[in-house]
Amino acid sequence: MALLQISEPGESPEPHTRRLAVGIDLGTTNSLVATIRNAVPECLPDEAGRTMLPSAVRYAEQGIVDVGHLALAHRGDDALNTITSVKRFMGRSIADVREETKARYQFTTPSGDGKGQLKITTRRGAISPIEVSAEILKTLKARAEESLGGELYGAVITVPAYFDDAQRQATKDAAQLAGLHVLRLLNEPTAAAVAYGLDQKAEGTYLIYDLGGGTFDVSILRLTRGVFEVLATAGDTHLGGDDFDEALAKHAFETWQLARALSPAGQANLLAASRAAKEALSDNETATIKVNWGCGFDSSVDVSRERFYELTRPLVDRTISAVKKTLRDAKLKVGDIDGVVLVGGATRTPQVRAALEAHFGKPALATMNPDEVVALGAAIQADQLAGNAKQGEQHLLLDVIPLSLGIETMGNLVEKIVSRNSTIPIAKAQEFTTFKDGQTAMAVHVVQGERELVSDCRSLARFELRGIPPMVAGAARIRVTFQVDADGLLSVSATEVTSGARAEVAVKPSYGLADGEIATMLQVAYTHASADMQARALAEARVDASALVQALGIALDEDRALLSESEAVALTSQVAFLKQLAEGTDHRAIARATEDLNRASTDFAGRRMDKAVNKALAGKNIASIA
Amino acid sequence: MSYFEAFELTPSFALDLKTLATRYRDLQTETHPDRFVSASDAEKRAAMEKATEVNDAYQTLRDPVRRAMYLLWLKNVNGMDEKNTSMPHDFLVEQIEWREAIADAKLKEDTDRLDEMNTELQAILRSLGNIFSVTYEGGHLSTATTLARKMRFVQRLIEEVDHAIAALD
Repeated sequence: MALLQISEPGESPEPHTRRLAVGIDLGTTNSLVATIRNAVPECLPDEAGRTMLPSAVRYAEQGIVDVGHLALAHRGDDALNTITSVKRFMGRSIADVREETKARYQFTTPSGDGKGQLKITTRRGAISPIEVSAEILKTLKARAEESLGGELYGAVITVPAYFDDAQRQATKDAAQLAGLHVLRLLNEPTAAAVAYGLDQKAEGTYLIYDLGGGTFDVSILRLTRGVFEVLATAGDTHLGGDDFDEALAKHAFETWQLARALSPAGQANLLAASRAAKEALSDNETATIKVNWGCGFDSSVDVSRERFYELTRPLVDRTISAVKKTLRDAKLKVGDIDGVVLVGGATRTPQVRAALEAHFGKPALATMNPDEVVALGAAIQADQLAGNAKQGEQHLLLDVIPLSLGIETMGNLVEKIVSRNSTIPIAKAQEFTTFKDGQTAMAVHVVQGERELVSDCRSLARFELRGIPPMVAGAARIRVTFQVDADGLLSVSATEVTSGARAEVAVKPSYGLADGEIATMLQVAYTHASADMQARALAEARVDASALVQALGIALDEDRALLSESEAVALTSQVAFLKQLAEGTDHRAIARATEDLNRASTDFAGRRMDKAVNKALAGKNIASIA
Repeated sequence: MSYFEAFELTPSFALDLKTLATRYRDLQTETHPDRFVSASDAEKRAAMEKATEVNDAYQTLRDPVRRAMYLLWLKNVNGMDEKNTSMPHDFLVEQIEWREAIADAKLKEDTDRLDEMNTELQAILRSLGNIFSVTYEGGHLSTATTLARKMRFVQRLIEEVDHAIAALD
């Protein structure tokens, strides 16, 4: 009898149909998109041959939106409508914006109380940073689809390892708004480690030092036979190359002793001149910051490399403190690190390299382009998640949650539920009880951070648990489960233990979008026509249905033996039913049937998982006996 | 299924951490959600739950104090019970002395002394673990419980030293 060929779960059944998948580095100053072509990861260029897309979006006249170089060109003359470094505003409130940035834009909040996700007032009205990021992602998506000649199956989008839940959620929302299927949010230093590790076939313990345009991350990873295990991570989501520019700009401004504060346009010009001077100082001993204010008036100042080092020493010191913290968290000494890898354009500054060399006693590795390495790593991961990687060439990433999760208890105190540097996915359950007789609801406040006081941590969400069966005070036992998934995102569920009743969890995110908001934004984006909305809903329902039909088809081929005859028949007929339904046009019915089939196959999924576990352990026992 | 069974290991304190780490990686290779990105939602959920369980088991077994507490729990002993706080008097005195020493070194910003204390405490934790192992295997659960509780105290001291070092950096 011929042996049946069976593919890995998640792998495409037909070996020749590669799914188009990309990695996107959504950076503070520049963004990139990369993919695997002919087994090699490469960044995709625009029509002018440039791989880097400046992360700049301009809301121009007549509803035109410019992205990238085109937008950046107007940073000086249309500053208020040209948004740069939008990554710094993702999942952030006005209170989080630094003083020197506050003058650059007109910030606002929907509620007007300054709380929650900030928005930026432009000639197109108040725009959320999520919408701005979505414009950048849309541009990269279009570039990739044109270059690859087809619709994308999905994308891996990188985020700073130190991004909190609100910032991650905002990034995922932006991708959804751009019409991208997010395969995974991947931490930037981990992405870089993948690109390096697989390229150099490295084994050992590595420290990734990632200083980008606006964010800083440091991660320590252990590489063992294709497994990338993050041991610890630390960082600062508000520290990067931009701050080096600002240090120079501040110095120039103070030297010139100008009579009045700079206009947004003047500030943009000064920052651009400072950045040019910084770049020149990587190769020259001195550079000049020169700004033409218009009307024949200009200012200039010479800066030596030494002066530049002095001005930026506090910034470099902050990164070295984070390096020390990561080593401590990983319980490692300097000598345990086999190599230090440089990532991010700002690691080109010589003082950064010198400081790291002094700390580790050996030069850092920078054999790959520090601007591209994150996107390349993301592309490798996207390729594998899409099921394109060959068996045996697969690797595994085990990442961690960067900041502890906790809940508010009496007296403004935080009770830690999940501690930082725990490997994800992770879940922790906590039991609560009622305070009053007959109480049927309770409020839980979830925060993220390391400090002991609620007010010093970041508020993530407030949950209201409703539908608790009425009992005497202290009798109800409500078990709340906090689940952090592989994207590092939190979800919460609750059950009343004694009655088994499932309490409803109503989420009120402190920063992210409320449930309906994305839908509203999509609606606006789709030219108000309800026909378009219908078409989109139908297309989405069909994609979901066909993905499920395909996935279950593979599962049934592989593991029919795990089902009884009647179970197998029931599932098969339900799959056939959904397949037929998906040819119709009732998107609600398709969505409902998809959900039903998902529910019906839960048991089967569990049995398949047990089989996978047995497979993982089986081979090893033989090995350990031998 | 106990955490030990999940890794196909015999329940014991003297665990081969290398084997544990290898089996952990093998299990994650098969159950991690990254392996199920294009699977059905039901399988995605099952993978997340399984990978979560494997992570939890690994974190418990690789930490000496949590491993000791877990072994006791398998014998229906709750070593973490806050109501049972009686500890030997001389041990408590030692604890106070350690805390004073840490506070003193912190005040003097003596990082070297703190590093030394860290090394000493790690050694104490290891030797307590060794005694726990023998006592537990011998079925002396009440003595083993006291030892596990001592280990938890020592681990907290180590954390305090780490915090002090971090604050001085």
